[in-house]
Amino acid sequence: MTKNRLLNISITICKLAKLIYIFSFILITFVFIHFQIDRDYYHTFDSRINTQTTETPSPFSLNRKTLNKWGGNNSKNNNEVYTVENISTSSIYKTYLKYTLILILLFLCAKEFQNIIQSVKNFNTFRKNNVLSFRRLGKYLIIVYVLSSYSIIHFKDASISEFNFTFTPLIFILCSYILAEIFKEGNVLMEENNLTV
Amino acid sequence: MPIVINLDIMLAKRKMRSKELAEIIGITTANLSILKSGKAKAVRFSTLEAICKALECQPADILEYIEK
Repeated sequence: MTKNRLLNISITICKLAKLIYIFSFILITFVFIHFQIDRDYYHTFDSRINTQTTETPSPFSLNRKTLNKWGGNNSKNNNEVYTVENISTSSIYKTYLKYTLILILLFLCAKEFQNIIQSVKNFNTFRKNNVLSFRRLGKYLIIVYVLSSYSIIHFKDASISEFNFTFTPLIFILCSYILAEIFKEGNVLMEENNLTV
Repeated sequence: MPIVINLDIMLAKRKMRSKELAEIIGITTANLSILKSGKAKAVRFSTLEAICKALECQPADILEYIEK
């Protein structure tokens, strides 16, 4: 009973996460399209991009943010130049594609996780599908990790590049692959048990 | 696998059908088919005992080791 409740809660959370990802995708697509049509609208918001360069060594993350300028615009006010509406079109497209891909992959992660929980609920825990699901989950998380660890935004005469490597997602990736191996062993044991007469 | 199941031979000797044996020893025909075809990974002592009792034979009459 308790197990089922926990599994039901997990399934509900996965469904909710999928809905949030779909809603976020629709929202960023809407903003992306609106940004193309009416760029000046974003003047009204405080859309300054933090250009402060950072380099923070920490045991759990590596962060490096750099601002590269060209064309000799040192006299200009940074906050005036580096606002959202001044980002180059190609950079906007790249950023949009990046976040779209991240959202799609997170949606797929939630879907795979929901499938695993559903199979546990249906007493089909050690099926081959679950091994494949955990491996897929690991692959999706690697891509999400790589995509979200860097960010390069181009302006007319400058670019901000940020690399942020945190080690926490790596633990999740490792856990996915370890669980895939555990479930693979479980699958072998289940098949042996099924073939015991 | 070097262990060969001679259940077919014993069934023929006792003029018994697989379905009948499955009913007597209390396993499914699918499981008996797995055993006969040599796909089984293991045999429980209780199953072996039931088979020997039903077919009035020794475990050696059913199981044979052939080195490959």
